[in-house]
Amino acid sequence: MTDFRSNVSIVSSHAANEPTRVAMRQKDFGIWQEITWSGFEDIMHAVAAGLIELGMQDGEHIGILSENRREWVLAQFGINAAGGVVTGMYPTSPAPEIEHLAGSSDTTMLFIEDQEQLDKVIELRGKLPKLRQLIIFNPKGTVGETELNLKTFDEVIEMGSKALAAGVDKTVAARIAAITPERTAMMVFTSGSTGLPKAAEISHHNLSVAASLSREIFGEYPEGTNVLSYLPLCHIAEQNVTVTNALASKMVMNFGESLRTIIIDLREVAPQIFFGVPRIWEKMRSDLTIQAATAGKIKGPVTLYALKQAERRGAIRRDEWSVQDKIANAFWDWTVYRHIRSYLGLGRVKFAISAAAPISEDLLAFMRGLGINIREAWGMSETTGAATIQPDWGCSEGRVGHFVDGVDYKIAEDGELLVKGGIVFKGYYNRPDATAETIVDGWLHTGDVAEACADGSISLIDRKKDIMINAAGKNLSPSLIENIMKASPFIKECIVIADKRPYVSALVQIDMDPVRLWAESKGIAYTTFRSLAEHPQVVELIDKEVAKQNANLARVEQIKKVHLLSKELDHDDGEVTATMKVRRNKVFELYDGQIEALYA
Amino acid sequence: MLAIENIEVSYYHTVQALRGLSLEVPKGKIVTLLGTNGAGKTTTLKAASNLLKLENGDVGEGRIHFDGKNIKNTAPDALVKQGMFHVREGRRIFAEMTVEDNLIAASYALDGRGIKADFDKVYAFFPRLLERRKQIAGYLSGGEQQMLAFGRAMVAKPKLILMDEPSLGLAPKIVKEIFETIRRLNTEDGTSILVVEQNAGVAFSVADYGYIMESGQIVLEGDVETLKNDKDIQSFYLGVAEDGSEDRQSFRDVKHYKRRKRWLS
Repeated sequence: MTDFRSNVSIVSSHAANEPTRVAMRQKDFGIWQEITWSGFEDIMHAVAAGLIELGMQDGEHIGILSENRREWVLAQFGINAAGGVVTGMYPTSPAPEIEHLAGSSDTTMLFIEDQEQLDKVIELRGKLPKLRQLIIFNPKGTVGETELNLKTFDEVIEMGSKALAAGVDKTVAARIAAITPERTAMMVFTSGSTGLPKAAEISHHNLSVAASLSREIFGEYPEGTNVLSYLPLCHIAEQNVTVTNALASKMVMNFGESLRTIIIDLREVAPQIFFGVPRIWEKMRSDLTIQAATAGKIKGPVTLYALKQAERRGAIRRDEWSVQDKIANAFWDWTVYRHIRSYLGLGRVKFAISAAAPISEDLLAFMRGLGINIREAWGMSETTGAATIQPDWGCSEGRVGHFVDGVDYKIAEDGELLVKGGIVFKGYYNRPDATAETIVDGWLHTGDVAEACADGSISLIDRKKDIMINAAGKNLSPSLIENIMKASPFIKECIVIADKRPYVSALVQIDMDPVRLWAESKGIAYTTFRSLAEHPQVVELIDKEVAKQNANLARVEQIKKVHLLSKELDHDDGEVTATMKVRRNKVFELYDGQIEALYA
Repeated sequence: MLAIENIEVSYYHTVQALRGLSLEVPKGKIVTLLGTNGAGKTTTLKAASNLLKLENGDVGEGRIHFDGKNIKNTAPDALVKQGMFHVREGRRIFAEMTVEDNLIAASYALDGRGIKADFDKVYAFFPRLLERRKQIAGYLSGGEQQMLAFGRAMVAKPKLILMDEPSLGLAPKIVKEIFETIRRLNTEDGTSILVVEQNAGVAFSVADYGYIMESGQIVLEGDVETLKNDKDIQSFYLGVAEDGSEDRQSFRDVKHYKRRKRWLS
């Protein structure tokens, strides 16, 4: 293991060694604006000095509530350099959730993105007694606003630059020198799919270890390798892929214009490493299939054939391909696949990662067949991000691959995966009870039930809390059943009900686009999502799809009845978390009537 | 009366304007179609009156039935004779001809139907047109031109009128008059009407049922009473203040960021 280096000192050493190398790019009105490592260091110091000028004490908790943009990372490092703890929050969170996040983490100053986030904070006036300062990245529409001493990001940098020249630089240097391994660098909120989110404290030591492990997890890449940052930066996985990588290997962090332009930004950056959550990969597949199905008379069928072949070949491990497979792949790659990869913006991808939620095996096969080296990884906020990863092309028996060296693991008697090592977090902030339950004798109880394979790799079964026991006393894994169902192109979301029930049933959300195309081909008239989901023929279609997928399940696991949701699950309604994970209890509560009807 | 099922429209085979759009105008009802600029409202009307071919548009998928018959191969002029009248956006009267000649031109729609043109009824609805009967139509005011366009539709004795933004560029008082006429025509003659509007307030004042469309698809439908109480409609179309008071939203409070539209039905 390498010696401890704080993330702040790594920035400074990059700035000293290669001041003119590009550290990050931000697309702004169509132009990719660059910041070098030395520019990065300057702004980091200026933000730190600005925060100190605003009265920030060593060790204060400073929040960031914004979409991904370079200011996010600049603020993050400025906070750390001033001795603060970063608390990142999801910009999509509604006001009541912000109240919990900022309140439970004792956030005193908050960086906000724009007027939209400011409105949420104003809505919470009087409910966050500790919050005393706001700093806004994009002041459009907020001029003259004085809520909580609102300052713009540029004002803080300017204030900081002046202060640095006037002697505050010594204070900043002292704060940086005082960063010791055991101090907390950031708090990452757990997803909150089972209860209120808890703030996991990640220490500087954790980050330092994660940085030294990143070469083993992500591989050796030349300096200047591009990554595109588009998933929420307050999530540990995105911090891992973007920030930790950039520090460890001098990669370039790219920030697109906005989340709405991400498809174009992705094509422009054409990153070498791409991280996508299962939902992103699902979307790519469904878009491709629809594009192919609606393409011309020759192009359409040829592409559909090629895609089908891709899925078949992708299901076979690449190191076990026959000569025919290799020849066929070479042909289709040259004629179809490489163009599809370029179209997706993945033309230069050396490897791609899927993590943060279980992904269906068919989907992985599809992407691998297209020539995308997608590897499933596993990690959690509590392990400072990735802890296991599959080898190239997913050539391991276990679904989430091998643990990296320096991280110990064992599987407890009840099947729970336990992890020990430098990446295991400090504990939950202000929740000694929860921490004591999670870390026992230095072993992190992950809450995931796992299975070890013969080659030493790991497969995950389900969340321990989610395992259901039916009325006959049989253990069932809902996510296993749900993922098999989600392999149907028409099913976007599936929530299984089985606990203490005589048989398994499910709430199903249809995938609008494929179902729309299907309905049109059958001459079924519809207007909105609801009219489509409630159409008897669509109900029949989903019943058939469920029956088809049931063939892949054991008898007790098979879904007997389904109810189609007449609206899409939404974060605003509290049905899913900010990362689109289903909040089972909440959904069960909201759809109680419909669920009872399934057992009537 | 009119049933549109899952139509897909593209212009020049490249620009897709409608993506699986369905809507229905029941007999004797007023239905309104609302949406932002470029949502595809006008395209929907043009598809219904079969005018798309003249503009390099093409209905790729789906069916349109008028009075129970598929209109796919019916020429636009034949549709007018069968009782569908399309009042296009921007009036499109014959500017060089007199008011009366404009009405006479419209009466060709009655050829072969054994009905006589009834100009007096138009003049009874719009006394202003009677005063200006011999004037060149191009010299009429905007409101009078819209009345004339409407009058032409009345002469053709349609079963269904498609109206494209009748309120466009008109003073509020004239708008009110035009919509009162729409209601009268509907109640007195039982004419079914599909009216495309940007001005949701006036459209809701006469319509029975409404559809909201966005990028070529219907996102919300319902009878007008339900729509009026929908939160998204109130904030995006009716300008009702978000605090729920009776006042209209002040421009001062309008946010520069994009508020999310949910369109939950």
